[in-house]
Amino acid sequence: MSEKAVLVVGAGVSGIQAAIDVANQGIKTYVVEKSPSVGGHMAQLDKTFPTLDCSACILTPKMVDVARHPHIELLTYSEVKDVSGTAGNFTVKIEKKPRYIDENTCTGCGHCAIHCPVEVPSEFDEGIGVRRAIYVPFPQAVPLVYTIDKDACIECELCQNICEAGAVKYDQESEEIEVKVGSIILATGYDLFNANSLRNYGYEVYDNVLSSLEFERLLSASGPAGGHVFRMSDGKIPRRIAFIQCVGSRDPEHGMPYCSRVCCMYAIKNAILAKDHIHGGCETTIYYIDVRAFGKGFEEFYQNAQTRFGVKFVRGKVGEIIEDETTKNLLLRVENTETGELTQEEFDMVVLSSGLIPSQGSMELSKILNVPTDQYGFFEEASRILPVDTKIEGVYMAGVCESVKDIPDGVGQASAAAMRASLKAI
Amino acid sequence: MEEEPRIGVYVCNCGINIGGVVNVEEVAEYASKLPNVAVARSHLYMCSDRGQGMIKDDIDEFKLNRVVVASCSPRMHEPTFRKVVEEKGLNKYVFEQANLREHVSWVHSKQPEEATNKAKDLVRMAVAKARLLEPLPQQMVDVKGEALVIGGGISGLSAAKSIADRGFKVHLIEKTPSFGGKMAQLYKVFPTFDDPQELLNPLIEDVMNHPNIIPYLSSEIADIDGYIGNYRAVIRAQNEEEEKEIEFGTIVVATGFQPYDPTGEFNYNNPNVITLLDLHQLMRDDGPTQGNLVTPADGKPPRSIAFISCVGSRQNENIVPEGKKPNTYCSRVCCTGMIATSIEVKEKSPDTDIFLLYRDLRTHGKGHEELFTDFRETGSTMIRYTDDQLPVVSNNEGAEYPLTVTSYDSLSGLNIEIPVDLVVLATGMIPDDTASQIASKLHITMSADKFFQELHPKLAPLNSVTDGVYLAGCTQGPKDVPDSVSQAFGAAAKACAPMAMGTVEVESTISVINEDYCTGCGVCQGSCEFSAIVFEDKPEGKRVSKVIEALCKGCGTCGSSCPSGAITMLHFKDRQLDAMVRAALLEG
Amino acid sequence: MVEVQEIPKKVEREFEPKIIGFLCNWCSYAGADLAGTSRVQYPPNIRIVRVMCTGRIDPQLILNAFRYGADGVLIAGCHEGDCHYIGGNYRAYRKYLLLKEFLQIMGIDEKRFRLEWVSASEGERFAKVVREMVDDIKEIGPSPLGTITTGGIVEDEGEPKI
Repeated sequence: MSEKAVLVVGAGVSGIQAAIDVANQGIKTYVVEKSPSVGGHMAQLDKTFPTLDCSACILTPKMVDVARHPHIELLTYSEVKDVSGTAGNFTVKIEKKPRYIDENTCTGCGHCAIHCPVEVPSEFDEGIGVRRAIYVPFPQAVPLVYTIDKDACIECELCQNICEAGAVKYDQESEEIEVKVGSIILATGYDLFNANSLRNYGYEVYDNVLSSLEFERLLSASGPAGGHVFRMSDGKIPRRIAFIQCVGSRDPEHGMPYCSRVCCMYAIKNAILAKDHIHGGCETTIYYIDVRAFGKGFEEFYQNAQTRFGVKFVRGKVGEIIEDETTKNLLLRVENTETGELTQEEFDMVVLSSGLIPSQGSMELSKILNVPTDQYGFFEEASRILPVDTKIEGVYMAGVCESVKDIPDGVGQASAAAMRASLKAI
Repeated sequence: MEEEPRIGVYVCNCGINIGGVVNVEEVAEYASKLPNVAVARSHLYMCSDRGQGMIKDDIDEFKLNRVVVASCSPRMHEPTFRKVVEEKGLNKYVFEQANLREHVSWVHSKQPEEATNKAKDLVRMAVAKARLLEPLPQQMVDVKGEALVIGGGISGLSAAKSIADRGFKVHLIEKTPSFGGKMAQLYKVFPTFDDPQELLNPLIEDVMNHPNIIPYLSSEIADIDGYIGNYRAVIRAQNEEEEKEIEFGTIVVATGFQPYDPTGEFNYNNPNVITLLDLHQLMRDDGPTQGNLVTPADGKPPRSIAFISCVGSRQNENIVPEGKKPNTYCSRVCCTGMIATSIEVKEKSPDTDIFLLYRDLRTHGKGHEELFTDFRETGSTMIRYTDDQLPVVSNNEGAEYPLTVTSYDSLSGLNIEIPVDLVVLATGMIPDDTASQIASKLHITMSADKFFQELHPKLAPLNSVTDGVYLAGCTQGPKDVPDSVSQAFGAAAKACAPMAMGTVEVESTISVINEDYCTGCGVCQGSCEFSAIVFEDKPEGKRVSKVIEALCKGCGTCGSSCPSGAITMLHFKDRQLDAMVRAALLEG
Repeated sequence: MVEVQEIPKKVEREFEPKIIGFLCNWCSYAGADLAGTSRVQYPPNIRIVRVMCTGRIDPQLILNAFRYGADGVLIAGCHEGDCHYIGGNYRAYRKYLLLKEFLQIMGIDEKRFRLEWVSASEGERFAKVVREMVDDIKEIGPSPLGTITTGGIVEDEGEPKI
């Protein structure tokens, strides 16, 4: 095995792929993930475009790989706190946050959670589902180890009493770990643009206006609704759903001029899935500016959405959403730019195809590492032909933290980052 | 299998997850009475250190040569228990796991009696298979630490340099006389307007001087065969008789693209109708007009230019010329290419009027939308056409402007006529013409769009369906320079993994063909997705099918197709599976 | 005088079908696992045999299952396009279509032999398929082939050679 190691920060699908590709070359790889489980946003999706693959099905084998790989040391619920040194010789301080559970004895059986009396909104379910104070983010979590959310915990000690393996440890403290690595790969992903700043859309004000990730969780068979789509206001099945594109993208007025690249495709996919999941029919309309179906299989997917599934497409940016106070239905004011008509359409539910912004984690890391970012916070590449090198030697990047991209591009870039990183670790 | 099976059976309580529903002690007691079971125990947590220790002690004490654990799903802990038996010198394939948690206690939790009976059945089935299990050798294949990179464009160059930097020898083969591919023909690279030569030249120099890279320009592959780790190829330089034979372990395919030929569309035979790539060459300092932007027909600067997008892309049966099959895909780069080139044109020739005819504007990449914003500030006109009414380019003999472009604009609802000096077709990408030969030589497949097919469109975009062969750049589908380079580095990482390890494990649970029963019908070959079965001529004049072990994935599809019963699927033999079914139905 | 004793009626036990399921490792077996982790309940009539791919399933295995007394056989694999081995599930489907015809000629109701695509995230669906099969087969009764132990007419020809 080589003498040096590589650090991968972030264990969404891009981080996972980068780690596996480095480790497969026989190089020791540390993977740091700040949430209790690996998987990132891809684990939240029901199906992926354009193949309509079950997202969890294709991701979980990779998650298991990264946990089991002989050359990978996986540190979940951990964060990078400090980095010093230069390419070939970095010293990284990592904080392993306390789970209050002994990782080595917890068997993931779940009895603790069944008896925990506290219920809080689940981050994984984007707040539309719940979890307990002692929890795993989702059933296929890797590692399958529970975590206590101390902020929610009422210290009733029921979990400690119930646990047959004796894994609950209330007095656990955070651990500081120092590792020496030759290179670092940043794969810190994205956050979803919060549309509550766009007052005309009523997000977080109107019950039946959802963000795209909230809708994903509704669609997901393992989500809070078991894959059934219903309205937040009254639990009824929506028969008319509108998808609004470019929410927080291509919008210089609100400081978000760039294109979020994946929203056209994910909206088409979600419209198709809505029709598939809702028995008895559902009309779906996508309000767009340009349909960016550019990747392999995308154009065909878009054409199929129209011809086979009957998804409607209207070219026009929705100006305003107004809620009917009694029915909680939504009225969309939009100009159909192809016909020139100003229309008002009523819908049962509206899904905002929000853009992707650099994650909180990316922002923090750029400060710790002094990695230059562009004006939006995405890491800057060294040149056109060094697309995964950041401007700091020895620090590479993969996935959306570099710029918005879909899963195939993220995974391909992750392998590229692995290649570049391995050259500094041999 | 010579020796008498001596099976140890371990039934797990998994806390109360299994034990709370299934009477685990009863199941263990039942198992201990089954034929060939030397010992049967129950335990609280089989996966724990104590549980694992118990198995190890029993292997010693009872001379066990098979182990069955009845606990959670094998998808969870099969590797864990396989390691346990290996630590005691047993082969990992003599271990079998029965699923009493996900498939019994968790799904029949209100029916403890039925659950216990089902648990007994599943344990009996696992024991029946375990009796027939055999050790299987770990199949390792040596991997030669040399790679072949096919194609010397930006993707091939990037992949070759990476692999070479990593310490492996690379044979880089390019069919034209120079490296650089299509990128070298561009005027500027979007979205930052880099000079392609400035980006390429240092890289090409590195590659030419790299101690680990052997470049073959003006060359082609005459012949190639083998499998991962063990390839052999014959390289022939054009116009030369001499051939060179090389051996290598991995292959990166980077054959790139060629531009779509719009002959027969949009009046392409008029000299003032050119492609986007033609325009780039016109604008280059080393181009036919020394970088002066002039129309081909009369050598004067164009007063107006019309760009038409989606030529050779996003086609359907209604909008494709006679005799051509529609290219249904989007070529991904032309929208931004068109926009970037328009900005460059305006820079060279500020007075030229630009008209952009488009369907959807796909400026999706990093920095591309911002380019589009800049473009709008040049005051150019955009016309949005639809796929049912293509723009028409007609000749204007003797008129002031040589061409007229007529189009319906879906946003204003008007039919527009534009007199222009030059029409530029933003043509799409199609695979390089060597692609189909490479495909058959390497046993890799093409997608519906004729670009090479990746192993999995979401999670394995760089692997071909054949182990050892990786894909980089436009060979897999249209993309721009940064994305091509990403893929190239990525494919290099994939290739370096087996080479760095020196060996690669190939599947042990593979297909085995008995030559005596094989009639050489070839049905198995037709059913194999991985091209892992080939014909072999035996000395007696008989032709039989033979499995290339390194390529076999053990799926079993050949096994169930063989009409002669000549194929055995190791670890999932008919005998073994049938024994499980018999145990389920006939025994107990 | 002869005492007439009432012959006690034999309590009829409800017929419980025996179903053999061939599940592929990558999709349907994982789906069945998910039914477990989600605690979805279904009747305990199925016995699962794990294979790597439904393409592995030799028609002889299915025929033997019926001969040995299975009241139903389920093949569950990956959805179209999702097969881990690219096309194994299509080949299983082809064999299933032919075999179904053949079995019907032999007098085996088509409700006894089912092929379903179940993905690794369709735990609920797997449970539903099992419930349906159990209900359907309960309605039509035990397999006409019977078993050796119930005195049926099948002769035991021995195990497969390979």
